[in-house]
Amino acid sequence: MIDSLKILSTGGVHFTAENTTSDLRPMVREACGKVFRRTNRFIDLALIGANRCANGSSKRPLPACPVYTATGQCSLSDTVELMHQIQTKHQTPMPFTFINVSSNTAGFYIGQSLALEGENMTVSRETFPFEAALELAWFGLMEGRIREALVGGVDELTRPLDHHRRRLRLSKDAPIGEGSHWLHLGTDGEFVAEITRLARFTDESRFCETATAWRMDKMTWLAGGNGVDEAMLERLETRLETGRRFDYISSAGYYESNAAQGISRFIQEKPAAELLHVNRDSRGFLTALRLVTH
Amino acid sequence: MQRPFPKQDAVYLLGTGTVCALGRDQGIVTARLREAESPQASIALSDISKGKVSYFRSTTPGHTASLLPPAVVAAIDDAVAEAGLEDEALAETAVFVGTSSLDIGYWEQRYTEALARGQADFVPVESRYGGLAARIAEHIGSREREFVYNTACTSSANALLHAARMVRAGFVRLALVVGVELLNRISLEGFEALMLLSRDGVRPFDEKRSGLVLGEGVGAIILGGDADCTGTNPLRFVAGFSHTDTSNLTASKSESIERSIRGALAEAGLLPENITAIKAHGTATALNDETEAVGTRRVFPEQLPPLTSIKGSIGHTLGACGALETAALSGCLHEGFLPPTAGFSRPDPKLGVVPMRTPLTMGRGVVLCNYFGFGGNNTSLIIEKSR
Repeated sequence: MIDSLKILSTGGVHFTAENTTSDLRPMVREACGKVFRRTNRFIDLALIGANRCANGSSKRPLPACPVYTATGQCSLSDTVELMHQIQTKHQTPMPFTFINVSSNTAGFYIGQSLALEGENMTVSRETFPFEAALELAWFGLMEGRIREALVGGVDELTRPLDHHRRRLRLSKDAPIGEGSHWLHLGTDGEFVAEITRLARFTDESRFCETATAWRMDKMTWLAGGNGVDEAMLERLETRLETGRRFDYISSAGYYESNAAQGISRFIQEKPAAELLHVNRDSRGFLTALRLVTH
Repeated sequence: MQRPFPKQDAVYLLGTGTVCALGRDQGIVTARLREAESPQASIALSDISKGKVSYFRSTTPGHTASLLPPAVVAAIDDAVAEAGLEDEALAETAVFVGTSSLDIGYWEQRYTEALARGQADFVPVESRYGGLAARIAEHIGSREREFVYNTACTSSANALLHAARMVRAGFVRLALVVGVELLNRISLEGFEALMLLSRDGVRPFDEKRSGLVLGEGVGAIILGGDADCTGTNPLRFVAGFSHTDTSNLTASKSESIERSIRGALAEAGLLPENITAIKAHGTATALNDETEAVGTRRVFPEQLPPLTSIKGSIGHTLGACGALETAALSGCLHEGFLPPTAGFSRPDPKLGVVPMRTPLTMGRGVVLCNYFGFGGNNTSLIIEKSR
């Protein structure tokens, strides 16, 4: 039985709508040592993030290491393009465009680039895709079925941007982004951080009752995910007496799996610190994650 | 992360629901599988290729104006009714959805309507991957976790595998596993572009096999442990194994199929001779059937157990096939038989596999179920009829 998720390394890549690049191949080559033919942007983002994470680890992932890719909308550009191609242009889809919208294709390429042959699961959950992937990894590690895992959150921007915002039901000026951030979890090696709590709550008051016992203090950083607004953050600060905010959303921009970026950046930017990351879905359910960096 | 429920010695299929081309009622589906019926259905594929291919439509409507399709509701409601779950139990039922196409067909319909209206600024694909599971959770009143698995044709097999492990470990009390594949043009046109669709029917492992026939369907399975098992003769989910073959994106090697089966046997603590029968993936494409045949024979070199594929009766339901075929099979096993392979008539001497042509009477026994997909994703599951 493990009592925390130990993190061997983290790495990733992200772009905002205003600060991006269309050609990811140089970054793929740098991260993976080669480029892959016939991939799409989503797959390239996944490859860059996962390989940067693995390259930074004190331990290379072993062949049995599973890959859990969390995503809110996966290969969205290609999916939209396929719809246009079929329904308005009346064109037969290109075979690899079709194959690439299969969500596990990104995990396939990650496996190929890192010589991994374990489970390759693309998973999601409304508002909490990254937390769902972390739960799978925690469960596998807790059961002793796996000894390590690569867990990432990947989503891509589509253009035009106003269509992308409408697709995500965001306001016209909402900051939007894309990214791929990964954690290499393991049971032995040199750890850079650990997730000591990953819990789900059916409402805010139950969460506060439980979290009060976690004994956080003014040194604890508080971060809110996509579903948490300013009013809720203020309530949580008051109830839990946390003293500092870690705001990654305003610079990351909105995308469904951006909690992975929040966790990854905190590990990189805040050594020897503690983070409470809270997210809330449209039904009012909460997921809380407590992270301690070394 | 806590283990809120007690560990379970065994995990059972407490209730199942099947919606497919053979019908909705489990009794009717079972009877038609026994007769190896292959529904006569054909739809015009597209105005692109002008091709006309067979497609097995579900008898219950798929995508409509609702984001919670009637076919999904029907399968879930049947599974819940059979399991006899009340509201309190449903609130503690985690939801595991496996699908390859999510709600893309719904958005295609809205897009078509918008184009007909001349609405140039319509934005297709608004929904999130997690949306369908959240709607299903709301439908049954679940306050538990939900997971969506999108791993091509193994999507709901992987959902089933993970759900069973979590129930056994006491991580969740009950699990509703739903495999969903509803008609959409991207899947049809995509497989047509890959030249994998048959023009003249599905014939798994047959010498004259000519490709896939896609199918529409939903399979729903309620999993629970000993504590929630009140039925007299439930099937037991024994074990499973999933891994990735990174040698080729669309075609696994036979060694990988072998590894998948051996992995499931090892997880179950079983030997090949303990397997009573095999439900093959059996897609009826030239390459897939050959790879599966070779990989399976490596595990069973002396004598291959009786083997069947049910895709001749319900089509290849892609991401739904893991839950749907397991649910359909459970109905047959309850009735004491394994269904024959619809569409098969002439053995292919290159395969060394001759699937069943008539129903196999089966009392107690252990069935190996194979599910393989794009992305090198290969999953084998083992279920047992113990009484």
